[in-house]
Amino acid sequence: MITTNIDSVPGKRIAEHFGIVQGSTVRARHVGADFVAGLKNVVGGELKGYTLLLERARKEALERMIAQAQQLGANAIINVRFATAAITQGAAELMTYGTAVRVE
Amino acid sequence: MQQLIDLLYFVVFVAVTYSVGTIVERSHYRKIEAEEKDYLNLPAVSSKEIENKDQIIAAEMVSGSVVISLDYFKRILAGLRKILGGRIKSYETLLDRGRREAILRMKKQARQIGADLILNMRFETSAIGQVTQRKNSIGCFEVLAYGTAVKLRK
Amino acid sequence: MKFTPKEIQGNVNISTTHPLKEFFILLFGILGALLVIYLILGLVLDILVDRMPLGLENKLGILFKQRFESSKSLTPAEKEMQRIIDDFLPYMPATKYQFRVYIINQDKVSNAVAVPGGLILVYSGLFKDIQTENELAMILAHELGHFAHRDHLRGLGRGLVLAAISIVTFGADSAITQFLMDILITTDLRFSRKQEAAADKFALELLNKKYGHVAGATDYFEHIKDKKTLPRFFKFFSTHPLYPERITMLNEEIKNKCYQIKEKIPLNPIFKTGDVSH
Repeated sequence: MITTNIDSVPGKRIAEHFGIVQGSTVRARHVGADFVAGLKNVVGGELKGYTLLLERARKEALERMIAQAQQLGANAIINVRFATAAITQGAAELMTYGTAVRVE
Repeated sequence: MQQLIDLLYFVVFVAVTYSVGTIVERSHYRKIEAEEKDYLNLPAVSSKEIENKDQIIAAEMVSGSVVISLDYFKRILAGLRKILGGRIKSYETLLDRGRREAILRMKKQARQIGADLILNMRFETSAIGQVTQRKNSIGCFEVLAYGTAVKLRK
Repeated sequence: MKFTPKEIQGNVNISTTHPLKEFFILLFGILGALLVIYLILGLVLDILVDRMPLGLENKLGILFKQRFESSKSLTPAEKEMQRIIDDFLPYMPATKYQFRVYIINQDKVSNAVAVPGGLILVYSGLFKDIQTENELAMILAHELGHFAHRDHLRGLGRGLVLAAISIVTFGADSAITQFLMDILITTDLRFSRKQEAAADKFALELLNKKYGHVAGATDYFEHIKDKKTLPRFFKFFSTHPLYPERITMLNEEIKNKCYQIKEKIPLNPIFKTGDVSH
């Protein structure tokens, strides 16, 4: 499944589109990560644990969106956008959406 | 034995909110699925432009938003999940409903002006009702979907 | 672009796990983990508590002391109870405790409580239920037993650590923390049944050493058991060995150790004046 952030897939022609597809996931940190982050707050620097956590969440949201597009018979998604929202303290929703198209 | 009585209240409360919440959710999903069938021929895309710009005879920005609140059972599940980490499954249905409802409302507004397509659709999700008195309060959240509805020349 | 309307089947954005199932798995998983921590703590504390200095326990008791030590002088009733306690001291294992008594003016409550730091609180309602000095001595000796076994620390220590974990995890004002602390206060700060039974046996031994016999050991409980009855369901949650069981256990111990029964000493009349507290 090809995904792009622009209006088209370079080098291919868009035959038809199927509308919006979206994938989202809500993830929470666990207390261990919280504790480590609390300590890291003192020193500063990158919170590698959280970075990895959000990376995984983003990947999962992407996979869900791709699954939805495949179901429609699309082979590419254009104009993909991400959105993150904090739903509650310690948990965030990662959403990604784009337009499912068939290119040839 | 105060704790026993407290526990009993808690269990009853949870059971009631779980059942009511499930019923509300199912009926909402039914309504959403029915309406989505209705709006199937009014697509929304995230692209900014279409191939033939001259085809557009009218354009107007439309939006749809909805505020969804949690029931107590979902709150408890989320609270438990936050200790262990991982996917909060109880929220997924809420956000899904919120998004789809927001899109439907946006499409409703688009249909009123007779549009055929919605361009550059975007989402915004924000948690409101995050009360500052209790640190872990999980309030409610708003989902906003907006885009430019265009009418095409036939 | 040509548009092909197609219905999306299914829903990738939700999970199929039934929420109730998830609830129970999470709940019992977390409770299980907490239980394991609790048990491990119990073991560790049992080893440590015997080595804890008295000074630390006294610091814990300061909270209670400040409430009850408003006046330095003892009432006649308190002096009398202090005498009974001081008479016991030679028969007890050496201890750094300085035992004190304080009478709380509550005629409706019939109870005596051992508080960290060596303070014994006695509710004035107790005196209505006793007739002999031996009964009073038994009650005081029982509280001394709790101190001799350092029972406070075994309960308090574990409860405090669990409360601390709960505060860090859920936050100090979370409902779960409040609930946990309620439970810990009522179960852990009271002594377990084993500790109560051990204190009872200790008291019998002390009574025998001071008076040469154990007459009157069960009198208070016999009197009280008719007054207080709990529905059978709640007996499970009460940490005090129920009075009939306590009486049976005491009588058995008396038989096993061949303690004698002789004449009882009547109670000093100042306890019945109704003017016993500050």
